[in-house]
Amino acid sequence: MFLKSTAIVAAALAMGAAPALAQEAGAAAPAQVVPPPAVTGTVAAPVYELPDPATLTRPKLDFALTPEITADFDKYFYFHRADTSFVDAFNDVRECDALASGSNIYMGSNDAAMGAAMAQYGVLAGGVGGALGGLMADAIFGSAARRAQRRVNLRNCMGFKGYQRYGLSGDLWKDFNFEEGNGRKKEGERNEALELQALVASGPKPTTKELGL
Amino acid sequence: MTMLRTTIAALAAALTLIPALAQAQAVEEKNLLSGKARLDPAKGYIFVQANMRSQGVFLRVPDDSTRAEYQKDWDEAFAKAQKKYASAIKTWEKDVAIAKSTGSKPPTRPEEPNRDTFSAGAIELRDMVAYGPMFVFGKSETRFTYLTAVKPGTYVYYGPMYYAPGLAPAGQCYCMGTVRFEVKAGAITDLGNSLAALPQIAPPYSVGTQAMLKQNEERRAKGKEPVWSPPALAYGVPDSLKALPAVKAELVANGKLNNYFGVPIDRMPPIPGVLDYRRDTVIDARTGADLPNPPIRTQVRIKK
Repeated sequence: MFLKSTAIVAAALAMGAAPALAQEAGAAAPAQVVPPPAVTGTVAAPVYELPDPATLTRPKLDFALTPEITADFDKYFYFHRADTSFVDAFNDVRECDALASGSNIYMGSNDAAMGAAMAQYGVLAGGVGGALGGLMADAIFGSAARRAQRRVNLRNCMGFKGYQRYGLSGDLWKDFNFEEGNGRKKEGERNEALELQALVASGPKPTTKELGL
Repeated sequence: MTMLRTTIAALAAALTLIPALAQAQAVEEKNLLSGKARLDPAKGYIFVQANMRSQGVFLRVPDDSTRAEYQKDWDEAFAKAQKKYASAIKTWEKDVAIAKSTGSKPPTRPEEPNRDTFSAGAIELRDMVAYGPMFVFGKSETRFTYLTAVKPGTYVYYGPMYYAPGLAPAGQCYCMGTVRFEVKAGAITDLGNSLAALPQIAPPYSVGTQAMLKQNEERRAKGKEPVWSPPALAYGVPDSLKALPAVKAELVANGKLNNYFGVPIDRMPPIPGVLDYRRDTVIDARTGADLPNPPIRTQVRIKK
């Protein structure tokens, strides 16, 4: 599946065509509908009806801390910001999800964060020769890297927005989060998860340790 | 295995086009000196320097002519999609009839193109230019320069990203805040090393910056050089470019951008007097005014 999609993307780029882009259908809660950037085509987002947070069931966040769980806090975490409404949190979660979607991985580094840092701080050049190898590696091993990049992007985006990060056990995390190493989840499924993430992000302040960005 | 072969074939096809495209915008000093290349007063030029090889992407802010071209292409693409739909619906009707007679599951009805949601690609990427790390203008042990011929206009620094058609983009986008600058026709817009030298790293750090700072600390503790430290600000174009006037690029704050290439996201660290932030709101530090902060919507095709 991956190989096929990678081939299609590569072929599209070879022809000088930008990959087909589609805007996400949806907007914020009725009271705060903001149109998407108008410059990208004539896209009118259908209104996304945000549910009343009182109707949502708050995910379980209590777990017994073990060294194994702690070691995975870079994978399994959630965000929280004080004095934030559910609607604001949903808009933030949704925007960060948009910025973190559709990862296109360069496998020059096993660590998305360091890979990015190397590019930003000028250490990339030596690795660019391996870009073709990177693409091949991406076709074979890209799923894990895509998941890692999504996590880093969410951390950066939510961190800039002033949210704190808290660790969670993998089991509890899976109840209201998703990974997209192997393609995009269905929109309904995603929206339900994003709503719960917003509920947690705008809920009571966690008593566990803040992990920093 | 077949898929793997398809991938390799597609990549190979992609690679054959890269050198021509990559070189189309880059001007090399050796070609200028030999007369193989010439500076065109109708074009604008972006000049960048660094103490090592570097790379970056600039997005030209769409102007009226770009918008008109985009509209034309959009209309054509939409008409084509409608035509395709008309033919697809006929095939679908036949398939449904076959499914009914055989008692199998009917195929899903093709989706009719909708004017409100149809996209012909991002207009922001239409006049995109990329430089580096190959095709240097000139180089010495401590200085690598790049000259890129561009359509005059306003350019947004998309980030330290490597881009070549057909290859996986590498690096990151400054999707959560960056700078823009003007490029005038018949002049060299000298960015110098300002894109690396002017930003002042400040919390909240991105994950990447945090990792870099941690490495710096570890290396300092061992008495070693940091992995990265900001260079001293430097401008100046070589004599070989004296045919056109050189103008220092004036950086201005620019708001958030979409992650068009699915790369790691970050933002340009604040630049005193130019760029600042309040949470994720980008501030024009010249005036203290907030820049518009519309929400970013995904560019990824959604799955119903």
